[in-house]
Amino acid sequence: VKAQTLSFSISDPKRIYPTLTRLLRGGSGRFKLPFHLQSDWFLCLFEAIQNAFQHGEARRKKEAVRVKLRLSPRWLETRVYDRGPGFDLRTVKRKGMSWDERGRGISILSQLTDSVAYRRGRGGNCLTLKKRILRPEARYKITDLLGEMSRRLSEAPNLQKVYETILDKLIEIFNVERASIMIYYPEEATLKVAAARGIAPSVLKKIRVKRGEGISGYVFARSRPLLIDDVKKNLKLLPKGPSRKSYRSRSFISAPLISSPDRVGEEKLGVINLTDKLDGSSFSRSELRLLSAIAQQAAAYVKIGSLIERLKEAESLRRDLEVVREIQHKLLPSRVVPPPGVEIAGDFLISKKGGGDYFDVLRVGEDAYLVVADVSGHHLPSALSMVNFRSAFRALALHRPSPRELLDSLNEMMFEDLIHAEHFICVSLVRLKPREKTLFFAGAGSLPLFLSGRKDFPLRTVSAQGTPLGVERGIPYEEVEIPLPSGEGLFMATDGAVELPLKSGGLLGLEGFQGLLSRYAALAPSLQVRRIKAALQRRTPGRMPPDDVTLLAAKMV
Amino acid sequence: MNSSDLKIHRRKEQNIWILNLEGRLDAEQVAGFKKNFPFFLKEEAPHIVLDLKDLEFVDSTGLGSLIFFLRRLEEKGGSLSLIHLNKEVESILEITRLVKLFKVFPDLSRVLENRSK
Repeated sequence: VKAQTLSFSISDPKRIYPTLTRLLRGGSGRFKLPFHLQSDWFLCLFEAIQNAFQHGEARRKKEAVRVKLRLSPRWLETRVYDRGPGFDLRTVKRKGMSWDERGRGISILSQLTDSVAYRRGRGGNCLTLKKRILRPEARYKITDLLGEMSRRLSEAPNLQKVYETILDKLIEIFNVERASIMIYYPEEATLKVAAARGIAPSVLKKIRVKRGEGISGYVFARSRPLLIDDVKKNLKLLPKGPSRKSYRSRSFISAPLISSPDRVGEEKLGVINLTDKLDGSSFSRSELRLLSAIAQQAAAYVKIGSLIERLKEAESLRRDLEVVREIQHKLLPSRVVPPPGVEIAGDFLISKKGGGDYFDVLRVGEDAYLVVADVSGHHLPSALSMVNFRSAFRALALHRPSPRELLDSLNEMMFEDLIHAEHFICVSLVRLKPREKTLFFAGAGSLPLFLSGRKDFPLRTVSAQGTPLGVERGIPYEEVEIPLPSGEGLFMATDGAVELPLKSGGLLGLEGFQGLLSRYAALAPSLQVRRIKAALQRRTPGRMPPDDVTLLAAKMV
Repeated sequence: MNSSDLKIHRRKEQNIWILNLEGRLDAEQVAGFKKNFPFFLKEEAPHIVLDLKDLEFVDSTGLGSLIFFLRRLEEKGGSLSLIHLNKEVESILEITRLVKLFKVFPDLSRVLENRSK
């Protein structure tokens, strides 16, 4: 491994900070300071050069201060040359660290380096700073290191920050240019990169490693850390493709992330990989041991972080559901005012996911429109499409005398929005004409209309089915006219009712639902709806259906 | 003006001046910092909090100016507290052992809490 050298000069003290920033902080130059020394050495150089301007005559004579850096695997050395009268280093050192306003520069240099020497000469003066480069295992006390990691990781606000914090610390400790954390996704049996340094983002997204494949897959499958001295001897472990050639170093270390909570047993979470040391040297066994110890600590925080993320997700879903419920409740008719000669009642069971079920009763003169609708999907987007449907329905219903025409207009009006939102809406629509003791029914992908008579009347169904709204444009809907004498009733529902899972297994089905309707057909609509809702709740596990169920009943008096 | 040149933003809260130092406080920038001192030192018992979260770099001369400011404030019966120290600033205060000289708090709420005691 060759030593690196860097020489430069600064002729204006104002240029110290920008010059050092450019040369030492960007990491773009060829001189690569070990990460753990970057900020200390920046300060040392700043103090040393500033000192040269103060004690030398560079500022007065507009001479440049010359600086030379040399980095070998074991030593970092800096020489700062000035041509002024100089100073007595021993006197300054004896003064030591005081609480005075001045004279702290040399003391800082003494603290941050292993040796400070100052040579005065006729040709100029030279301040020499030296720092021994220690291997990570000698630099850090493992207990201090793990303690610091714990403190930093416990402050990380989210899982991604946990990954980033681990990587930042690993880079500082091991002085590597490439590091990655790969997390295992059991459902895909694949390791994916969760965070990385030194790898192009476009490449990161494409990296997928199967268990047992490449270095990461091998380490993950075996659950043991791995050191590769010379990767050329282990080519079969390298990923295929162009990234194979892009490694500068021949040496890799990799350690599994294994969480070991007390009660659950071991859980393999992923792998940490390090390569491309700044000085080009190979990793050692003791560095591998250090990485393994850190990986063990890191795994606990990755596990906690992922549990917190899951909790947050659940909490966000819960809040989402609360909003959906609020929307659905607000849009329900606050009080159903039926036309004379009719009793009407409706209710619904909201599902775990919340969604886009909706019912409404709208008086149009002596008639009434009864609608039951179900927007596809769940959560807020469906609830928002449902809000749109309600506005469109309420606006158009007053001007469309028949359910068929109303469905045609609703489909035309909402088609583009529904396509854009990737939603469709199943609608059951009835125009009830109490004076004529009749009704008109049209459906758009909905359940049939259920008609019930007196106790001895069998329950029957009527279909008039077109496609759901938002599926096909310009195809006219059909409608049927049905007489509804006094004492007879109708029942409308969304498909959540027939798709209700039963505690006993299987689904309620159309037949099961019709059985329930028959049992309560003789009751008044309000009681009928209440009893059917209770029966559905009793039959389904957890009393909450997977899809919303909407029930709407009407009866001619 | 360079992007890392020192900028000072000040505000007053509960009779305490909070100065947010942004950029660097070093030999080249310290004069700009010191220019502000008379404004605060003309007050009776001035209490100052330096918010250092945006301070990129501080050198020995910058530290010297902080000590100077602290001394003058204490003479007037005031105080100087530091909050939001980043890793670099914390490190240099520890190296120079000045961490013992200054009152260092994680944030403003802790300063106010401490004052109310």
